[in-house]
Amino acid sequence: MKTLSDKKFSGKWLRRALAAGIFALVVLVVVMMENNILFARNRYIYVLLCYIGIYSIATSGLDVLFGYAGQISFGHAGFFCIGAYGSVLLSHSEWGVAKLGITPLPPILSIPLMGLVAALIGALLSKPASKLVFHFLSLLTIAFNQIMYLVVANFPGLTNGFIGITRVPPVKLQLFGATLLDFTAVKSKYSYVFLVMAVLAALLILKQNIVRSKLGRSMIAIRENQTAANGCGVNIMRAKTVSFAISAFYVGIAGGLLAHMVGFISPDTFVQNTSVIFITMLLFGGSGNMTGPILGALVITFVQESFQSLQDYRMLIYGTFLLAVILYQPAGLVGLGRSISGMFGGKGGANRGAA
Amino acid sequence: MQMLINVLIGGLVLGCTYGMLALGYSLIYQASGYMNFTQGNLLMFGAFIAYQLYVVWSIPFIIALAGSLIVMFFVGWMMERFVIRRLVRKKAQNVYVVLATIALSTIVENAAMLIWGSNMKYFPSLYSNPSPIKIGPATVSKEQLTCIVVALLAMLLLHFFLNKTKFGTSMRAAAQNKMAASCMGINVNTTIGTTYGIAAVLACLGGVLVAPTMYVSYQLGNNLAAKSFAGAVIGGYGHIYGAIIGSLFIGLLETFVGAYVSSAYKEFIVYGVMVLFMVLRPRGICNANVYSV
Amino acid sequence: MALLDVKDLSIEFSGLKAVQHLDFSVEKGEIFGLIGPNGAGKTTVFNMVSGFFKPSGGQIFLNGMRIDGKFMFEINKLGIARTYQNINLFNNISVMDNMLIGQHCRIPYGTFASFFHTRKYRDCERATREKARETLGFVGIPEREDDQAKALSYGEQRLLEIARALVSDPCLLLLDEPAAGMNPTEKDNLARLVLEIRKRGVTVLCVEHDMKFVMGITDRICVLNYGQRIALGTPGEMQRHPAVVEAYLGGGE
Repeated sequence: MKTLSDKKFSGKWLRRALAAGIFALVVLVVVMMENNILFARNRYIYVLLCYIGIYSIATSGLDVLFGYAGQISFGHAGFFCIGAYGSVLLSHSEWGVAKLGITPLPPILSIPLMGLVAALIGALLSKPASKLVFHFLSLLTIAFNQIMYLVVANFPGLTNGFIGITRVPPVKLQLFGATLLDFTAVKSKYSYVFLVMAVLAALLILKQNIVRSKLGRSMIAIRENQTAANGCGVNIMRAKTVSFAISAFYVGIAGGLLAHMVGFISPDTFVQNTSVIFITMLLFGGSGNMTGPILGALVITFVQESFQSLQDYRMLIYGTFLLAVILYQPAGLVGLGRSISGMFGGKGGANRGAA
Repeated sequence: MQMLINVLIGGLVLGCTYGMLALGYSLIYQASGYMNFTQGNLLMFGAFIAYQLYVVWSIPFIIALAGSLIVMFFVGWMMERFVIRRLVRKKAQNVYVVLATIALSTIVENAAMLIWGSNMKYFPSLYSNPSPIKIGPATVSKEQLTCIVVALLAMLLLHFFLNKTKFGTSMRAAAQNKMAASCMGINVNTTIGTTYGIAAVLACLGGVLVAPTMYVSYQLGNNLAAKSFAGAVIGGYGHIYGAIIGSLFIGLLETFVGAYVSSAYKEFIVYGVMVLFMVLRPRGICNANVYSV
Repeated sequence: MALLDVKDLSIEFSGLKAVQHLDFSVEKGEIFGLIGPNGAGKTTVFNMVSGFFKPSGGQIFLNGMRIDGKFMFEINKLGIARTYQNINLFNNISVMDNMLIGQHCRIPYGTFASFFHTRKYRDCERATREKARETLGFVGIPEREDDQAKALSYGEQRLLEIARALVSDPCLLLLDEPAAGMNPTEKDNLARLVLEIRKRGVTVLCVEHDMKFVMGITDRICVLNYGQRIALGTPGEMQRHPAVVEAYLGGGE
């Protein structure tokens, strides 16, 4: 019988090779820059790459919720906050657990731990909304975002309020006192780029696995047709809750990485606007696939950096961007790419399946 | 006793403001099945327009009020006409419409910030005799009473409009069944557009009424909106009278907690009660239809 | 013991009694028809049996176990699968993906395997795909495996819905107006398919308007009108039953 599956198989390996190749290229460029082989050493690009990586992680997580499960959250900045503040409070030498006399954890542990905590909170948060009409989740997430902001802003004893927390410890991999890997570099984020890229790669592989599995299909089913999914044996409430928890995990990890990169956190980063920025990145790049969120993070971060002078207009521009994307190209850049390749005879159109 | 009356009045003021917003949510939800996140910022924008007219250009208050209401009606109408209707025609999924309202909300908020700046603005007294009124042992400002009275009047007017006038009835009909309504000769596009317009007017009214008692700033909308959602959920999302009851409840709750417990915790209590209702009684006080499974 | 036992089933929508005190049972291996004029409540009965609505009164038993009020996905796991009056496919994904989701409750690996693509995952996925292919072949659309569901013709979509319902190995298959919109040839093929389905050991409960189709393949029929049962028996008996004739053709004159 004609093995269409073989054809898809080779396509899969080709795409994997391509993805690995792009990663390797990025790493190579960064290493060459650092060693002055390629362009003058411009430290700022490392920071930019870190931001792009972090936002890619967050947006990929939100994609699991929105692009695959079709649920919407307007408060994921709350999980960003949990990841960031949680990791800082667990690992800081003066704030958080240190105040209670407990030895702080190294950040290499506290970041993933807070990712799991964020996932747990996400599951608890979305559980009541999973049985109800879909906009209840939106309301709940808005309230959640507000609450997280209020918590970190209004309890100075815990989080130093609006002043924020400085001297966030750097990320190192240490065993029995000996430092194996050091991602610090206060002056340049060169080594941190590798950490972010490694985490991004791992989480992207995880996302790919989830999407191609029974779990991923259950999410796609509830996105496509909730009633039919119900009738096919998909536990709707569970699929919604699990997808929310996974997205919270990703965003929580991203928050932790951000905190330890910048070395400083304050409540301003975790307002409602940040949630809107995540959504803008996701929709702009294209949801429901692997590359869209990364593209979105890439482009929007560049836009943000290029238009530093228009800082005040930032949210207005994002809002308009978002509206334009929704009205004219809801499939985002990836959708645009697909329809262009469709014009040239490829398999165009948006097949938002498990691929 | 004095504090009690003050807190009560303050709570009613807040409750009425939330009510204006929540009514908008219910109207739009009933008419089109969508959530509209722009209401909060429309409230803020309306308040700013009134500020511009009344304070900056010194136009008499009544005319300033009327002017801002008319402007906001058209803003609401145009949002529906050019954004929502377009998405509905494309048969876009629910999420995209909601996202579009979020985008609109962001645009309105930041437009206001750019036009009027980020400082808080204050209304001078609306009355030539600004001395407060005595109710029992307490003193209450005239603006607060105006807010409550006008808001309640507006709700009554809305009730009459929806139930006793021909257009209001056609709006209700279209909300229940678009196809049948259009077969009866009702122009469904007009009624839905009007619904959005009325919701915007209510939001604007809420803003203009509450602004003299508080302040105007571009962040006013978001703050009030989140809590008015709590009111809408508690009263029963989508239910017109539920919206009012829930909002009054939330307004009073917030003010009482703020006064007698602690100012820092009042927001938590409000959201906490909302979550409690979502978990234990999602239908709210007035038994709205909320289950999807 | 009957496979499906419906006792005193009732449901009310805001005061409108859509189904009242309905009693019938379906034996294992039967092809059972549920007919009646428009608005008689047939799809409502389906919706209650499959779990979409919770009845206001009465009980539904599957193999002796009470299932009324359970969630749809729980009932699917217990062995009831259905098709819909208006086609309810997962439109934007491929036919194969539709079939994979259809088997959701029968796939034995869990979350860990999903995350890390273990050996169990690979084996289960392979088996699932093979089963999907086999069922697609059984209903007659094996070549459409990779196409988007919405790209299929109307007749093929109906077959896909049936295939998707079958692939979860149900003991009872609910077909909601499966012949709607089909031409006579397609209807004949469908009738043959239903008989083949019965040969596989699946009991069939079928709602249909096309009398020739229903009389041709069913063993017993229950006739509804205004939410109440007015007759129950073999096709031959129904054709002669005065109440049935009256319900369809109207009384008087």
